[in-house]
Amino acid sequence: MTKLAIRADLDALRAQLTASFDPDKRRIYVCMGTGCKACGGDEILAGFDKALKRAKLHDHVEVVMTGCRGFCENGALVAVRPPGTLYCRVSPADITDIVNKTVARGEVIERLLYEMPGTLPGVPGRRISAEEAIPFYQHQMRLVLGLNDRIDPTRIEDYIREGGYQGLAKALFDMNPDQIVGEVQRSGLRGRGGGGFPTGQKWKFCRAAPGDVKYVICNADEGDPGAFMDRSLLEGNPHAVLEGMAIGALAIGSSHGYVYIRAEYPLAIERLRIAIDQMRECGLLGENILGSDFSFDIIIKEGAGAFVCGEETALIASIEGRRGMPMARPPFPAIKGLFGKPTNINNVETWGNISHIITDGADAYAARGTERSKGTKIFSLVGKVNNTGLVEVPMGMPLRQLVYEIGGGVKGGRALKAVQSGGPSGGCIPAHMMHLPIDYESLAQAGSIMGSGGLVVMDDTTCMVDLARYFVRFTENESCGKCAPCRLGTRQMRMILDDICEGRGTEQSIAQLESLGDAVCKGSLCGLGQTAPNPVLTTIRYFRDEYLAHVREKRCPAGVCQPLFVATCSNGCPSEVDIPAYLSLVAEGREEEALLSHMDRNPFPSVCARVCPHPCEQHCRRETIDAPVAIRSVKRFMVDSSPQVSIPVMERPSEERRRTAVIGAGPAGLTAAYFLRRLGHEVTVYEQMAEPGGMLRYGIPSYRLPHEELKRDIERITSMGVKIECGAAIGKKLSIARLRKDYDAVFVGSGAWSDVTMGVPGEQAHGVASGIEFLKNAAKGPVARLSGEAIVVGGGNTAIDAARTALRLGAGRVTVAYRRTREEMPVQPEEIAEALEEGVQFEFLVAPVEVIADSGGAAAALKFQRMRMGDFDDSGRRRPVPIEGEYIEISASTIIRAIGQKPLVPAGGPPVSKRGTVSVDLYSLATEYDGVFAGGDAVLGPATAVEAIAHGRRAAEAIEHYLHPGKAIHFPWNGPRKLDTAFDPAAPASPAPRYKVHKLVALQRRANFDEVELALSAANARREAGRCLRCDFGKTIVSREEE
Amino acid sequence: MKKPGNGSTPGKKGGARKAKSPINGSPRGAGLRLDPAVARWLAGAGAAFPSSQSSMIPMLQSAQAALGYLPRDAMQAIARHLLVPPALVEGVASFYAQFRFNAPGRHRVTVCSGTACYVRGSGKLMDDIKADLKIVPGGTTSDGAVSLESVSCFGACALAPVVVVDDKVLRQQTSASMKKVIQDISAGPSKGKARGTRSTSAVRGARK
Repeated sequence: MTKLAIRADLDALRAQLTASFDPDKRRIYVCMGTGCKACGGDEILAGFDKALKRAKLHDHVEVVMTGCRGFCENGALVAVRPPGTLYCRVSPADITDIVNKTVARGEVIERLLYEMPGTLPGVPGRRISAEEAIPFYQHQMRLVLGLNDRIDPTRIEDYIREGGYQGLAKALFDMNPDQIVGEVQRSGLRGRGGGGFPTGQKWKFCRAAPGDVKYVICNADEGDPGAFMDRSLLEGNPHAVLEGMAIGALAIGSSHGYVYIRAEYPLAIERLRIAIDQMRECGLLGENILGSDFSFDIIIKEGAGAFVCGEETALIASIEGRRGMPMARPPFPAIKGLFGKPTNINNVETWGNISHIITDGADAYAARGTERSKGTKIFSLVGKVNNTGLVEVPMGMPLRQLVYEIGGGVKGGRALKAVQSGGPSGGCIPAHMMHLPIDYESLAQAGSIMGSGGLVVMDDTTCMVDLARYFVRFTENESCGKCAPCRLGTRQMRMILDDICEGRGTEQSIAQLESLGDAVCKGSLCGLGQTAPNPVLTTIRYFRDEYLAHVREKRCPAGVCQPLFVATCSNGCPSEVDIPAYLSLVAEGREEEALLSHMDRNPFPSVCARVCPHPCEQHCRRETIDAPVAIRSVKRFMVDSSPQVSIPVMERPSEERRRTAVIGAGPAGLTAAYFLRRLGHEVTVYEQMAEPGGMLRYGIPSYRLPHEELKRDIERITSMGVKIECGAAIGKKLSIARLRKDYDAVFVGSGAWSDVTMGVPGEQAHGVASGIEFLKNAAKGPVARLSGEAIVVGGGNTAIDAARTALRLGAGRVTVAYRRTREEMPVQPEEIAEALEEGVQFEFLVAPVEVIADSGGAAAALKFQRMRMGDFDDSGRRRPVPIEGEYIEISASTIIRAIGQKPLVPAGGPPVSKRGTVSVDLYSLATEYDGVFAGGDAVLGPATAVEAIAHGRRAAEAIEHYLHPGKAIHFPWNGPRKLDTAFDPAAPASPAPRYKVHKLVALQRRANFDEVELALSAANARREAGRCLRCDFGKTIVSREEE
Repeated sequence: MKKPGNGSTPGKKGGARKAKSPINGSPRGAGLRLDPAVARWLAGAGAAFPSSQSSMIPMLQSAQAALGYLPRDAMQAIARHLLVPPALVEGVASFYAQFRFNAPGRHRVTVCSGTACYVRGSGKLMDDIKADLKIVPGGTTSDGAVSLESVSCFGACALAPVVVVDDKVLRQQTSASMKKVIQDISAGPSKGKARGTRSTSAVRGARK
């Protein structure tokens, strides 16, 4: 490499490099960032050289190693340009194929292309060939990272060819230092390390500070766990950072530079060393750079593993060879910094922006971003998101676009809970705030900070209390110990959080955390302590309910805090059935005991064995091995084997027995009645319909839940002495006021029977019905057969049930019309599959606009507006938006609307919220009326049976406390866990695959209401139960009963 | 492989030239009776450092890279070389997580406890590895085969949860896959790589 003596030499070299670079030559770009190296990058790089030689292509094709491309989870990444095909998860075994097919013949290898996350189980996602078309890259604006994927970071020639060091040349010869500072100020660039202080202003202070020796420092002590943009930039394009430092040194009048870099980044250190050596060789570092009177050199200092050294005064102490402890400011480093001299410290990414500002001008730079946050920002998008990696976006992009479009949504289609920004100094932003634009101000307003750009995505399996504890533990460990608020405060906060996570917390603990957090913020010396409470304070602010669940109920909803639950499956079950217990009992052929265990939490085993959406299976750890245990199927066998059990009723002295009334014999009401009866109270259930069961009887068709199975569960309850009065509507004779007078406590479980109308013209036409009415009539008994065609509007359970019922009643063609797509349907995928098998048709992306009636006033067709999917809303679903002028008409004589249900609260009932649901205390389910409790759909809106059952037990316990205030009681179903089934923890897990449910074939089920799902054999059930990993084994959990 | 510490030799800057006695051949720690390995290091790589406090961390890093950890002798020698009290050297060394004061095992298993890894289950993973090896982070198995450590973040967050075994970054590990990895390294011979290579300083040690 020849020394560049003057500016013209640089230009000449660039011209020469450009001329000898043929952009049309085929090149294989092999990513060699830390991530891809971990996936075999070195081997792949060497493999391509060999394979090209073997294929005699090495003269025509070039292999280029590049820096990190950001899409690390899909590594190792290899791009072939032209044509611009990106291959993911490449292994050395794929090299021959790539050379022989893609390089030699231009063919695309399908299996190596990026696959979009599949939104439906079993359906593979779309594969994309062109790099730019992958959503992960499509929405990015790669400015600072722009060259990462097209230059070899160990070749200064590549950087110079792409315009490198032009900014330095311009700054040296076309500008004076004040102009450089002014340009950076005008660009609006703010510190990318987290603080967001205007960079130009910082430079101005340092430039103005008196002193002939000054220092510039690049802060590459990227300590925020979850962030790796500095590493990637230094590995992929070190010259960009070094050029920025040289320009900065020129501007403030410094000739000494330091890069303070984490020792944990060996590759970045190596690439920096190579880059610095090359700069020296070229004369871009050293004396009289490019013939000017500017001299500058850079030294690398390796950090030794202390998070606090990211703080600038601590970093200075560390370079000086002292313990990395911060000092009080002022004096600021700009006045008195390294070795007592004026010092300017900027973060890696900040330095990486400088050459763009100088080369393109401040105005061009400031055209990106928002009013007060200019330019782009690199984020490391990690955690429970489909596309993890490094992304660069313009400031101001809404968070949801980052998470859902670039990130491809939450892994496994789970629900987004929060996004954590800013590492241990930052905060959690809850899912409902995903519309926030990402800029310094918006994040600060939400209680978080931009930080260095770590964005950790969390789903419903992340416990926010545990997460707060994680961060506080981190800051506790990393606190340098100099000032007491930080040293002691973080320790105290961590201990309180330990208490909460381990079941010893009280509501007082939460208040203590808040006041302690406030004190640590105010009293600490440096940024580490001042921001350390942020993760705690923001999680309390946005997730107080989760903290309350830990302290009041000793429950961890996410299933993380081990001492609070038996196993994740039970914890994921709303009614908290002890699943490992009944599985292991069934495995040993002890169905009676299994059923008894089930009845301690949930008195509807037959029902739940058929209609429960089994959230337990979503939390089953067996999934990490092969597939979750088919828990519901085992339950089905347990109930089908008809075990006979008798449930004991508590014997209590007569003065303790009370009279209670329940309104509604649905799952919530009957469960409340069952548990109240177990406590020895008298219970009368008032039911409006002719038979008990509520939605289970009248809302769920009998091909899913045969009436006799429901009867079996209900008879177990009535045989204990619960009285059910059917045909007893609340209203004229039987008012709530009357019940309150006659009984000691009342539970309202009146369900969600009220229908939501479409609100379109012609809806009154004959033949238009509500879904729930339609199902109710069908369930009541003999019903007129349908003729002609039917349309069901809606996408939920009721819609699918109504469609399949209509089909069974003889409708010619049944169409389900939904305004979004199949992926967004809030229904179990297997139900859609079953409906399709039976011949139900689906019309997606349509919204009803008008019912067209014939001359006789009967419905003849439904007119729809065509929709398309628009932007993401905060829930992570795309919003349907109308396509102007596009309509379709579907003929039908039966039109069923199933677009929503609302609670039906009897007249004189407790006050309701704006949504029409009964307002209750979240924990006791007490309404605003004394002695009146409510639960199930009446409180939740349309929800699942198992949630209603959970409410029933919760209400029964609260009613007991209400009836006997202050009296300690031990609920018989909360007895100590005595499970004596055999289990050998050292034995390997059962290798059996998940049991596949057998069903009636579609032809056999179209014309009748026979149960679709078939029973399983004892052998199958026992084998399936034996797949359980017994996560509960050897565990003792915290008692939930108040002492 | 780069020689440790050479990038940190501060050339003509950083006040290094102010050091009064240039070192040629006879290291200042010569008066001490040093462990032979420490003496070798001091005579070689150690002697190249200028005698100013800003050399302290690079010297500690160099000593650890050569010796695998920081025996007391090494810190004594550094104190002599830099003309500072030994307490100051120990004070600095104990402040930073990178430095170890006990000999590491033949293999090093380092579990990342960064946020991304934690959210994807590194907490449980660490618990299972602890149970498997029957040691806590910072410890070494009784047969000297494996040292267990945790690191705040490797910056390989997209591959979470990450475990680094000796030099190798292992992506998306599970308890089952780690059990196998540990079985393999415990059974196999030492790769003899853990010492004297850059990788030893690549990993931030447990802070306890």
